[in-house]
Amino acid sequence: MRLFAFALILPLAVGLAAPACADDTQADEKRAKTFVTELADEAITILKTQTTREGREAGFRKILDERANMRRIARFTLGPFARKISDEDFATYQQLLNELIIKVYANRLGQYGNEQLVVGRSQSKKKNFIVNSQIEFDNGRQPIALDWWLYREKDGSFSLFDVRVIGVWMAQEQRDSFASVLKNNRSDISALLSHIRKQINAGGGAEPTG
Amino acid sequence: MVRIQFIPLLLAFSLAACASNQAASPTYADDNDPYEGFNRKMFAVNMSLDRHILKPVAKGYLTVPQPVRASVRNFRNNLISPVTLSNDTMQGSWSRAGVSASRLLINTTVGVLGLFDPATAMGLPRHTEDFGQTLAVYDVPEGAYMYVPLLGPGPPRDVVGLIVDTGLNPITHMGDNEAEGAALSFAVGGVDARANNLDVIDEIERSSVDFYASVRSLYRQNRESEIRNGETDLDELPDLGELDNN
Repeated sequence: MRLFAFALILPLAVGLAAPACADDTQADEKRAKTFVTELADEAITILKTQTTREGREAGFRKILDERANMRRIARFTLGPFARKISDEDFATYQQLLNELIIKVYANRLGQYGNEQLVVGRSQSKKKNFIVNSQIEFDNGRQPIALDWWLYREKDGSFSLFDVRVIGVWMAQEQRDSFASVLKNNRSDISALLSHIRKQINAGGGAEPTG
Repeated sequence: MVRIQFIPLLLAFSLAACASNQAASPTYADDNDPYEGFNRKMFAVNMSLDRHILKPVAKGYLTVPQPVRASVRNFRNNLISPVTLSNDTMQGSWSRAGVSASRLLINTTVGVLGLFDPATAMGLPRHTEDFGQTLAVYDVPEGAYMYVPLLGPGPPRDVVGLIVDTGLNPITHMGDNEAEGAALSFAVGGVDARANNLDVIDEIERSSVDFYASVRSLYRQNRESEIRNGETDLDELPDLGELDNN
């Protein structure tokens, strides 16, 4: 009898719960799009208002601090090797990675200050959210696809994990190049740290023109 | 041919390219590079060719007015679009084949023999497909990552794809000599793509701790994305929360 009651109640419960879950998912996917729109607006504002390299880097540092979980990104980009190094080395690595990302993206994004980012579809699976967008140009150039991988934290907020440009995840690209350096230097973390320092010192590039 | 446009970022050293790993996403696969020593030597050869030939030519090409370069690109894209149409069809992507056919028709007529691209403005944006992707769709393995002089990244599946696409490319058959036609299409596409991405490629080279490995990653990830037509398989994404527990 109890089983019979359960069999009756279960479909009813599932039936009631399913639309609620779908609503939650839809609301979260919408929030993810808002997160990306706000983040892009912040970045574009920095590119438009900050004309010095230092100004742009300070702006991007603030965005990373506020919107990305750098410890997680550092863990990912180091791969399985992250578990094999001391806490001190990991802290140094994370700090250097932070600097590298700021310098690289302040430069790479420098040319897009006057373009428009159009946010498209948002999809999710568990805590992973992928938001599609594209950079549109007014000079007839083909749009550039830009996808955002967000992660929903325990408190319900979003953090940026990775960005995919024309099909290429940037954190994955960093991870692959770091793995190669480690492989070719007998897994010596100091060799990787030295390579990253070198890129940070060389990676500033030219002063922004916009 | 068609693949020349697939990721201009990679064209620093390769005039054209193509490939991927469809069995496992490259996101979590190893580097699939058993011949790395040989490949790095070939990469150095291409870097040298790029520095001394392709890059200077591309810089010179940038002095041609932008509208003229755009028309050259449109004209070539339209001429080679049967390659994409054929591969759309072979993959059973009927809606994409419809877009390719419509673009060919519209751009050849309204677009004055392909010099202009009104189809994009009409909501029919360009996409590319090549035989390397078609093979991947039918589960043909990628094979080991290879770096080929002039060609750039070229795992076996993509080299086979390039040969088939060269045969499908109308430009190959336009002149008296098929080799010359193929080389012309290859060179024009390569120079145009290189010219459009001079700064981007320099920036990637400057900011990478290992440029060879970065190119390999860019190539494999991009090909995977192309095979999936840009779609993300959310089931393949890892649980990032695990990274917090280590």
